Amino acid sequence: MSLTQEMSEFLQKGRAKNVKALVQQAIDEGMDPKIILNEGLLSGMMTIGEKFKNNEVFVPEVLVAARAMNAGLTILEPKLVEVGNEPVGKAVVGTVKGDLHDIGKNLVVMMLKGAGMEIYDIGVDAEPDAFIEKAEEVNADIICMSALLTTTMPNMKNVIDTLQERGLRDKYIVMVGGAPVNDSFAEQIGADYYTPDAATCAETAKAAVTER
Amino acid sequence: MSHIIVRTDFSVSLTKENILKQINCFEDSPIYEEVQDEYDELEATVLGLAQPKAVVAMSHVEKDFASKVQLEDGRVLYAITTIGKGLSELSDSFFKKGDYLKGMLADAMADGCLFSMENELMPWIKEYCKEQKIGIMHRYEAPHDIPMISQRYAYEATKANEKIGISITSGYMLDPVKTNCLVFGISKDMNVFHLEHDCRKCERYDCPLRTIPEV
Ligand code: B12
Repeated sequence: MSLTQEMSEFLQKGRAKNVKALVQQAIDEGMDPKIILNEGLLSGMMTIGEKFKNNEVFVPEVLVAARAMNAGLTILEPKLVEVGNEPVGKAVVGTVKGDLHDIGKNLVVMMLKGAGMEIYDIGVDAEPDAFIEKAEEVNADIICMSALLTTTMPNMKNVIDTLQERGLRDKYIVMVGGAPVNDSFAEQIGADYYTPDAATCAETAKAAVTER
Repeated sequence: MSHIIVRTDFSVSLTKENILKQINCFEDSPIYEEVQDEYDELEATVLGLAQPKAVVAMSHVEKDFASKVQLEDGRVLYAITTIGKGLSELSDSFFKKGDYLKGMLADAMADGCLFSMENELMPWIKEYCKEQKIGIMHRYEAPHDIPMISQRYAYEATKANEKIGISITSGYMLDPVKTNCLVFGISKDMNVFHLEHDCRKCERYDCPLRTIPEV
């Protein structure tokens, strides 16, 4: 088994210490940091995401895998900066105004990171302007909004309408999600994508950004 | 003006098995033991950070709300319970650090604290009703039985901001997030007590805590 394969296997089992050690070993052996990232860490994370989607594993297994990925990333990041690795894309993520539910949003952040995206988490109860200003500031590719209440879902539309008013709608990919949200709602408010969970969110976001 | 009662004398407790179940961690999981260890590590911190407070008040109901419910004497009993913001901050800080498992556990434990408070409050509410010579006809939950705006009515009737430091969002969510709003329709019959949450009315069919009571 190659070093990166081994890394991916340990990552899927949530073995943070082993992952860290293997990342260090790979760096010491002079492996390209981008290969460590893509073929070791991110491929492991995508595999666990896939298993989650197919109901082969539950949320806790995904959480420990993501934690192991993060452990590996802490030592890999400085090397990635040195070689000027570009993230897959930049995403602004938040829970919309009026809504304080944050677990789903946090998992979306976790999986997007696992897909190699750079994340700007603007938290909960986020004003439409907060999404837009952050996206403009960091030159984001995609805006991801979460809502868990039927009373706060309309605030997703407010963000899209405001983007439209300012002539910025086509600049960003807009994704929506959360338990009460569905495809037809997404279409109705003019969002680009809806997916039912964090794993498919990351998959779709990555594909959409790459396609651009 | 109705009487408002504040209570802070809760002895919140948690059950490990329930918390693990809540985050979908079952005995056959390869990481069951690891998650148990993490739980053990967190428990004291979580219980130490919980700041349980409740406020209870009797009130006449607003018109738009009254049309949704059956009331025997035009009044409801509002109860707002909270464990404060410390635990949400703890969970959030774990997520930010990339320790997602602890973040999720802390969140589920915070919910556990809220449920525990509710269990402690119920016998007290029963006592209180006895004193007032009333019963509880119905427990109403937003947004299935009553509109979300009823959380605002509860917030106003209990003066939750002044009494226990709660605020409210434009979507009628109470802030801190780990806050629960209970609404009870009052019965003139002292012997009627329908206090418990009714799983049959909830559409969260995959809820790990779901119990379907016998009909
Ligand atoms: C946990 C929870 C809470 C916790 C909040 C914890 C927290 N820190 O967020 C507590 C107990 C505090 C809470 C309170 C309330 N809640 Co609540 N809550 C839930 C519950 C049970 C689970 C939500 C959750 O965390 N799920 C786990 C995560 C991982 O799932 P998720 O959020 O859906 O996210 C996943 C996907 O949706 C998706 N996703 C999420 N965001 C995004 C974004 C994008 C872009 C994409 C693509 C995908 C995506 O990916 C995620 C991971 O796979 C839901 C029930 C449900 N069916 O969802 C109710 C629920 C959301 N709550 C509800 C309500 C009404 C409330 C209350 C207002 C009152 C009440 N009856 O309980 C109170 C408000 C309290 C207050 N402060 O005012 C209702 C909303 C109903 C509605 N139609 O509006 C629900 C649906 C429960 C119900 N059936 O009544 N709640």
